[in-house]
Amino acid sequence: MTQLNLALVIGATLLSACTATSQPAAPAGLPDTGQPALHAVSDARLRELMDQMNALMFERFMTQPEIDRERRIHAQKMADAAEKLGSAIDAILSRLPALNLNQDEQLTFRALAGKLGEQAHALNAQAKLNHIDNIEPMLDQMTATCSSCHTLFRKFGN
Amino acid sequence: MNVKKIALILLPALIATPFSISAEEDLRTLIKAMSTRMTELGKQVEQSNKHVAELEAKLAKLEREKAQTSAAAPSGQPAPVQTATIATGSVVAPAAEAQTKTAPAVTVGDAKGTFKIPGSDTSLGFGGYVKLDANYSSIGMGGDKLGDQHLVVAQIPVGANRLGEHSKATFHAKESRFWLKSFTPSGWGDINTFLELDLLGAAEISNYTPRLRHAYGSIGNFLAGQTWTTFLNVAAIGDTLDSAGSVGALVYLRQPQVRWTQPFNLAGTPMEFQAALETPKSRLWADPLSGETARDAYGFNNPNDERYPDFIARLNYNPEWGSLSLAGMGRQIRYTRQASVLQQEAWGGAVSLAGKINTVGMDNLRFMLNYGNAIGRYATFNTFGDAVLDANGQLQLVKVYGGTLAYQHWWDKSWRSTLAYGFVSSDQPVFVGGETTRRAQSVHANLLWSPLSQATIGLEYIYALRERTDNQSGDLHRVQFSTRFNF
Repeated sequence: MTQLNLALVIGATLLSACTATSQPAAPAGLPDTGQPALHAVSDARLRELMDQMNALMFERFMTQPEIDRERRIHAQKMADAAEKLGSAIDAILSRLPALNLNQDEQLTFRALAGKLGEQAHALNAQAKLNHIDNIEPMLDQMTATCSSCHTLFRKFGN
Repeated sequence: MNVKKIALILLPALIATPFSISAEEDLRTLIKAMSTRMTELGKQVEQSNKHVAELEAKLAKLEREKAQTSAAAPSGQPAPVQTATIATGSVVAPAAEAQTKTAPAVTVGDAKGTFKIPGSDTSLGFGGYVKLDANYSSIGMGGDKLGDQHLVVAQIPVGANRLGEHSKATFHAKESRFWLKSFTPSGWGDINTFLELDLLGAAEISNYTPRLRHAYGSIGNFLAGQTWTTFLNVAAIGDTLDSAGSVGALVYLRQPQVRWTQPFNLAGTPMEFQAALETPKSRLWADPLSGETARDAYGFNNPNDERYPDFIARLNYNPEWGSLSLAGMGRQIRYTRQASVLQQEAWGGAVSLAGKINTVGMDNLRFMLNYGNAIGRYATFNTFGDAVLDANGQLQLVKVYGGTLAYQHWWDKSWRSTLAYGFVSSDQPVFVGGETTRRAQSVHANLLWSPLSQATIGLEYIYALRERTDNQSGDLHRVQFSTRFNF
């Protein structure tokens, strides 16, 4: 495997971890951890829950305490989804030794995944505290992290 | 370019917000600039740490002096407080300064849109919306009727009553609402209170009498006050602009009650069991030959002689794909006539299966199926009685059954539509005649636009068909334009 292919491997692994954009197929020979799928599911789940929570704003027959209760339930589900997303990133990192990356490459990989992991952790904390208004901006930040990584790796992949 | 270079270029990219790299040279320049900036920041941190250390030393010294002064003050007298001079040279009074230091700040509450009452754990919030409804109907309801403002199928003119009634335009803002809520955590469970008013207190179009919609409190699993009947699954109500909604849905009935809600899990799925005692009210249609003449605006008699509350139990099933509920109700319908020995009573019941099923994306299907022989007051706005009195004053319960199906489609996050169909039918005894409704159907179709979560503008088409016991029928076509602005 050439060095350029190795960079592509890292890029493809991270690309598959986010659902915000299309996912190119990983090069043959990439160890299948199964974790990116979980990561993708968690990310999609977070978006779905956020949309459902926003839709509550348009319910005019439910009383406000009922809507607040629904929001707390959704916030708890989002906290769970964020926790799963964080676990998925940990699992991806645990596969690093199998990828045979050198120290610098691992550092890069860890930093990329770590940033997303920190954001997932922060989202989890906000959701557990029922800070509804903070959740959507944090989701946007996570999407921005995904998008910037995708853009970066695609540039290098060319 | 080797991998090491790639890694070195990527690392700073992680810290930065999303950006696009067009050339390696640009990245090198960026790294160089960042490196210089890091060095500058390091120097600033050193200076800041030094400054903080100085401030901490000063603070410690002041606290020591304050402690010594307090110890020297005579017992029972307050320690002298030094006035503070601010930069402008003005002087802050000691009392005002103390107040500024001790006054608790207003903070964000524990529920969305609330603030905490200073010095307490209670989160308080208020809000509501202003809604305009502009209706254009194919036929007027005759006179100043509520049916011109929202769908009241029992008021659709039939037969000769249609003569003289033609298309009619109606504008009103009576559905506008104001609410107040509080949330307080406690060792007994969360304490919630909720109060909501609208302006639909009178039927006349120009009469904006406030009406109490909700007034209830709850602690933990216990609720008391006026709110939606436990028999109604509110999540199953279709998203129509018309506030009365589909004729097949249970009437959106709010009434005083006490309710216990017991949550539990079945195979990992959250469920709830609810039991409630709700205010009783018998509504009868009386044969004119029975001697009973008292009738309300909808032709019913309300004897107001109930002995037992309405007993309601409901089971809620809340899987990931939506919610389902099965409700049962037992009621005593009772009639007595003043200044006579006539007394009639009968026990009846009803069941309701309702739910909301998430389908594709944000789309969902909502439905209700209702059946019973004591459901008249709960079904379709002021259309059916719970029982009838024959010419001899004998009471007979009336079976009513109906259902509604509403599909909500989200075109995108701002645009959505609902298509709802409903039907309701009653088994009226043969002697019941005149203006009484036997069955009805309705269709609602709308397109709603919410460019912001606080604003909704929409257009809805409504069709309703009413059939009376004398087999005559009348229909209604209506276009409703509505705007709703939340605050």
